[in-house]
Amino acid sequence: MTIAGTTLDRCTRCGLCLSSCPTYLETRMEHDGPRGRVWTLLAAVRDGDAPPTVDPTFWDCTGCGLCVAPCPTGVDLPAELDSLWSALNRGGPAADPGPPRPPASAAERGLEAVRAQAVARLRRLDPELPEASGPTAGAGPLIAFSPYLTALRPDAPARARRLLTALDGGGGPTEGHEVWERWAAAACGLLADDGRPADDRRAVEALRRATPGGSTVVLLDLAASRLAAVLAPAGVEVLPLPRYLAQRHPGRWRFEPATGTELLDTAVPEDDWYAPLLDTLPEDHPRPVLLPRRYAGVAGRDLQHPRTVASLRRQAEGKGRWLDGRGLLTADPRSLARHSTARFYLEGLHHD
Amino acid sequence: MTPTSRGPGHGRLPAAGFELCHGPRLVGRPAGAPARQAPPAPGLAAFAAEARELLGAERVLTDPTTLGLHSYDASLDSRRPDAVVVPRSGDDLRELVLAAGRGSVPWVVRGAGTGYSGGALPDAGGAVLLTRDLDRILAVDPDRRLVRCEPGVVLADLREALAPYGLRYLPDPSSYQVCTVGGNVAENAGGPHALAVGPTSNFVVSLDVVLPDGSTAEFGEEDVWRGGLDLRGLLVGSEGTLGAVRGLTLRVAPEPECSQVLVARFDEQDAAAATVERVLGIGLLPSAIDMITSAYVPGAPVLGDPSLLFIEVEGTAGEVRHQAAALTEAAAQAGGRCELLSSRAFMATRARLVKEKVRRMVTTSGRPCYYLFDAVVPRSRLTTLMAALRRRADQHDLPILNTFHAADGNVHPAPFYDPADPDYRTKLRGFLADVLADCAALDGSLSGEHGVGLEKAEFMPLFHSPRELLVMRGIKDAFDPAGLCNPGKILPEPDPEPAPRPADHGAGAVRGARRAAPGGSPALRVRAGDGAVDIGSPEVSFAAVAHALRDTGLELVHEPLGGGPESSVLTAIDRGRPALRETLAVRARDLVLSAGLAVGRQEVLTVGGSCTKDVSGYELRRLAFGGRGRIGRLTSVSLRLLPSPTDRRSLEVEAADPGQAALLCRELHRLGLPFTALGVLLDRSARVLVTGLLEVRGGTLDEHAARLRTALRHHGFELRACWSPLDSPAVTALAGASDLEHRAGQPWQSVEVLRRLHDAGGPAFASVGPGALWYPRGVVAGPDRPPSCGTSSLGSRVAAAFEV
Repeated sequence: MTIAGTTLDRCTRCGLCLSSCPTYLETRMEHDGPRGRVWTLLAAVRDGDAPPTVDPTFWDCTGCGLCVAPCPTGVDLPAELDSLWSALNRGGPAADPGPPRPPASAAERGLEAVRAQAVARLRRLDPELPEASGPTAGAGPLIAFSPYLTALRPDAPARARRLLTALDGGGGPTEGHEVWERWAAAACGLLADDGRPADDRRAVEALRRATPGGSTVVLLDLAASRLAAVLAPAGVEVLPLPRYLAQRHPGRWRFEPATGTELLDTAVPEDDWYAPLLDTLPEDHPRPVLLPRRYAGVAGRDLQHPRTVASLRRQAEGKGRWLDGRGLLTADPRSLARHSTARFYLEGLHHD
Repeated sequence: MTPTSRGPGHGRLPAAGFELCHGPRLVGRPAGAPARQAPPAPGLAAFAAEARELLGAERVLTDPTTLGLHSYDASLDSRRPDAVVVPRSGDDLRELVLAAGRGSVPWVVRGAGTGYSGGALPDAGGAVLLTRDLDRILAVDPDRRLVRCEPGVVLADLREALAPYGLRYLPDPSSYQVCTVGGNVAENAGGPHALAVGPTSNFVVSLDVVLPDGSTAEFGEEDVWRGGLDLRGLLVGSEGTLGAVRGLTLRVAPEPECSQVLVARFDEQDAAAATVERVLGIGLLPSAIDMITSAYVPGAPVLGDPSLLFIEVEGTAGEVRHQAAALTEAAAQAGGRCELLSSRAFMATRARLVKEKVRRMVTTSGRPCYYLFDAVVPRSRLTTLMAALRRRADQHDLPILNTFHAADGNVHPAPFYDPADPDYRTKLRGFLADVLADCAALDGSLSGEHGVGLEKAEFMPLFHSPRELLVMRGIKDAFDPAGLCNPGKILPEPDPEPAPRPADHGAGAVRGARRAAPGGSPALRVRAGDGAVDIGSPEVSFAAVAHALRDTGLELVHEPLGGGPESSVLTAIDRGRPALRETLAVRARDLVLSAGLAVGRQEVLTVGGSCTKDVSGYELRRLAFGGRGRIGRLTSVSLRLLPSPTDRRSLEVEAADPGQAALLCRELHRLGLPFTALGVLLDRSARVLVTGLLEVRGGTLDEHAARLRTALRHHGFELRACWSPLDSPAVTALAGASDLEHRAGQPWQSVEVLRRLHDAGGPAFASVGPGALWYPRGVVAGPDRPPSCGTSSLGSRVAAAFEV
């Protein structure tokens, strides 16, 4: 990683990112905000050669990405975080270097088991396959979802497929979709987060090869969001399902969430996941309220740095306490494992 | 209301120490040079030890990362501290100031570090004291519309806490989601809403301050009426160089029933600027008028992005409709394409549009960073300044955007640069120097809201005479003789020779350009385009000013209690006479833009300037209100004007006794109608009256009048066409009282004294709003009160600073 080509030196230290950062809102210390993290990286550059000295609180950043939108000059801290983490793990996952992780709650342990199994499965994929059996161009949208969704809502992809088939017409997914979906899951970033940048690169390259130019990719869940950046060089349009429905099929679908979903999960980016759903809610339906930003960090990366894991656990627990049994409408499958009152948005989607 | 503070997890502080990351080698050039560092004070080790003893080691941070992370703010500068200390309370803050004094350690208080002028940077090293944990909202008083809080409260949190009461705090700098109240007070922050209601200073009722010697003092707005100087007004905007605020009381306002923002897009910058003039010319006083210019890239064709004007109006639904229609017409006539938005979306929309423009500029110009600064000219000079900015951009080859508060003439030029260019700092400083010279030549001010800090200290001589600078230095010495409290800010090095002055600049850019004109001030001059009136003689009466303003659509919002139409304006200002319409956010004390002071036999000293927003250096002009000759004989003032109301009606109800009148007042107050004056009056015929004045600027009062009639039909009252404020029963009743006694509190909190006054047959006016009871001194015993700061030795030392 070099500073040339990154966005770090665009930071003018205006501080407009601070109020959007979940870890800054926790402590109100400069160490814990995006501006401080950018400074930390730049200071590492200034102070010279490897290994750079990086403030340990740097790794409390969960890469949720909420700081990107408010930045006037376009500093992309999550991208820098990814690069730094990849570089750190160049030779495979680094040995746990930091302080011991705090004990995880039962929900968190369950989620971590899901993650570990998914990583093991993704590593076994054969990179040669997609070229031979990928989908062909012009056959309707491709749908993509994270391994979390497959593990926690195994029926969700089929449900989404039925909805899209009904709305888009046509006979459903073409041959090769299933293989493509497996590679899309692998390229969602979980391998990178686990400290396996080589496996992640392999998955990204295979996915790009297997994706026909000019196709549209529909994301089913928030944890698959990183595919937008992955597929950008392939000339592919990537849209979250709610945005896709609002753009392509206005008025032909409706959203009727389960009763008691009072709160909306915080999302990245906010607008494309929940805003199109809320726009279709009937006037008399109680409108869910967006969760405070200080809990948005749990929608970020799953970096296995001990500080990041601890930061995620802390925020997830805070969020659970804040929810206090209230219903949560979410596009993040991880919230389904963490909070028993969470409902996946897809369950409320119907076509007319 | 019970004290509040932020949620769990807030106590977590960074662990000291480092971790080595193996792997990435970062190469390239960081944004910004390494922080300059002064050699540590000899007493630093002892200070740090004392601080650790007091707070525990985890609150006294000296590791290089923490020091580096507190070496910057939003300015171009950086200065490295020797320690970062996190006090838990106001008492801790005081102990730390005492300890710093013992060790001769310089210190500076820091909020969120979002200032643009380097105000929170430790120029001389030493300690940075964080207000992070001084973040309690202590009390909300919806009756008096006051909130008491600590300096570390974030503006957004204050908003959230006030919302359930239907109240809001109006100053709103663009960083409001993260900046702190303390930082706002230090810089006298403005923001879009400063147009109609003024900057932070207008809302500060009192400050609880730790002075640089470790003593504490409370400075309140009533000091002026207790015979003191308005040191509160001096402290606000003093950039943390005169003491550390540990608690404050702020005035808040009711949420408007309705508000909307007109967004108008123009192909030409100048057409957008002309619309601002037109809007103010038709008697509207929008709550905000902001503008973002189209990108200007020297040598490149116009980017084709429009200049945007945002105009916000508030009031009842009917008023907003009326004003929005008038605004749309004014903007459309100038070629604007208009769209109406809800105010809820205003800040977010503004931020989004600014961001889009910035990102487009980054792509087009290939320069990824921008430097944003603050400069201000009188409103009538805005288009001249905008042309000058484009010329300077050409001269320095810098692409610029400008996002600013148009109706206050307060611009924020933002030149774009490439941090990889080794000369970028020199270029930016050159551009800054030239633009400031242009502002000086246009009778502008050094800063409208960002403050001087480190960024602009060297330019002070361009805007202030050597004598004015000496007075400021004297004030700094009066508060901080040891020079430990945020040293190095505002004032240039003691020998300010020569002043920065670009070689190519015209004769206007002379040193201390804002000195009084050699011929002296005219007796009475209206500058309608700037929204100001200049008064240069004690002979000029309020009636004369009203006469001079009769065709301008503007008025002076000051009708002195204790005076009358024929009384002298200069005398009323000098004596600090309260106005009838103290309910307005811009009150009598906030009207003074500049003042001429004759001290001894010397040439008149002019303090302040011609701009409606001016935070350049210590705001000496604020001491002129209620100065009573102590800082010099007041020879002239420039006063801010407001648009005249488009409808005005007065209310008069006779009550049986003060108790009944006070209850009616409370009922009226709670209706949320646009009363600019309301109170219980005991007139000279021993009648007890409730008198009020309803006003709107834009539209009519029909809707309000109907609501008033419905709400109070059982009381039987008269809503008159109107008396003018100068002839109001309250002004008339108190006329001729040379000294007024003041008691704080709403009429319903002053019923006992009102009864005694009624029995004594004396006139009195108990005013709603700021909550004050006024009556001629000596009618009944005055209130018990602590010795006023204004008359203390500190006040005397401040007054003595003017004798230079």
